[in-house]
Amino acid sequence: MQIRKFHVYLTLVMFSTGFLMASSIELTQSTKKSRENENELQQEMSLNERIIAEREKNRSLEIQSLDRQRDISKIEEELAKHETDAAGLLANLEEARMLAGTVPAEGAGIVVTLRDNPSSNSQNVIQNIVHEQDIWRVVNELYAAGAEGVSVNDQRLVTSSSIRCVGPTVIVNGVKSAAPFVIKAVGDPDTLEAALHLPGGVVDVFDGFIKIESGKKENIQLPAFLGDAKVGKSVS
Amino acid sequence: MGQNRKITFILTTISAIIGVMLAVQLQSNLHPLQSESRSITELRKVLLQEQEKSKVLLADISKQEQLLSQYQESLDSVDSIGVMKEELSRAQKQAGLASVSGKGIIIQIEQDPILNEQWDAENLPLPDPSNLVLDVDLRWLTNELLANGAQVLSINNNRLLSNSSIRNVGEKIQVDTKTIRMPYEIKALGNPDTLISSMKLEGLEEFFRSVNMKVTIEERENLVIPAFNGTKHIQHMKPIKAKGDS
Repeated sequence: MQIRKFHVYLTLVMFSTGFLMASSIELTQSTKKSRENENELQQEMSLNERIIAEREKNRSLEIQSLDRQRDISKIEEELAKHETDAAGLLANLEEARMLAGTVPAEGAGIVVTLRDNPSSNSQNVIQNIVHEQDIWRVVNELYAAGAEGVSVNDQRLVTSSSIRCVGPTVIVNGVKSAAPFVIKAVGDPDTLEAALHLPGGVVDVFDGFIKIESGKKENIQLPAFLGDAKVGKSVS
Repeated sequence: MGQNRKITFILTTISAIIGVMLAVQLQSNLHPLQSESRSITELRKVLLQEQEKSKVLLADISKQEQLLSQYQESLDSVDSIGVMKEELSRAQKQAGLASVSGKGIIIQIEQDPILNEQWDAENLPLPDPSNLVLDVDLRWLTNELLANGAQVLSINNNRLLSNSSIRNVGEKIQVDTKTIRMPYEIKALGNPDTLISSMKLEGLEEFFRSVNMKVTIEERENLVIPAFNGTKHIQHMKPIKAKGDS
């Protein structure tokens, strides 16, 4: 009697184990099938791997480039110490490089963040989304207030930079990024902040449509512009 | 009694195994393979972008190495200062502090006398001041030019730098601190064909016709864009030199 009871239990348990295994195999197979086909999956994986490898490579290249820059400025500073001519030259050179945006730079300034405002009272949804014009407007206002260098979502703005909207993303220097849009500007923090808050200024204009936040910062770091901006031939 | 315990023991073990199996299956089903929502096309674009970036970085590095070896090869300080001067002129060219030339276009925006006459003839009310060219219009235009491959811009011979502003001050437009007046002349270096066709596509002429302005675009083989004529001093910004910053 005891043994029979045991058999019944065992059968039940084994039965459910078998069922579990079967359904588990079925499930895994069906998820695989849902991926259209194996080929696509593999292609995706290899693409992902290549992207990761490329990113890794770029990171080390960036570090290498920064190291070179440091070596160059070391030599230049050494030169400036010994030669009076070189000291003046170096000051001009650094100013020109920073203005051109070819070196990373830092200084006091403000950080402005623009966000879409889905909860706005305004009926027109389009007005609650950050557009390229809104970003220019802020950037232009900052420049007028004496901002010396600006980056938008970590892309340094240089003479040839454009800001364009494509769908929900913004393209700056050919690099896509999405909201929120973070504008970093180096300059006198008080003047910059005041310029945004002028009556009729950007904060007033955006009020009720899109969200704008700004804050002064002691130290803002701007990345260097990557790449070779073509600027035509020199005129002698 | 002993038999009973044995059964309980076996049952417990088997139940535990089933429990573990259930848990594993549940977990793998709750967190399915991190499904990449991005399509292959999107991934390819990302890859291309990264490859482009590494090309640019490599070019940057080789230029830096060239400069470095120039410094190291210069025998005395006079030589080194010469290298530095060359580098300065390169940087100034890139910053917009030197005149440059090349292929490009000139866009002229002026009041259209014919349209103005029509306006009078049809006895329409004269365009009110708000219906003139505004700073946003010029900003739009410069942004479109840059987005379509323009490299260097000037408005009424005021070179646009990285931190130039274009804004209305009263009814006048100021570029940086210089007031500009009609007609507006925008010079742009870049491939003339691309620039002209893209401006047509963006509806430049129609846009300015709506505010009674005539737009003419001319192609130039050798367009000279002057250097920035003003002073711009950098006071708050300094290059990042500390080790370990990226």
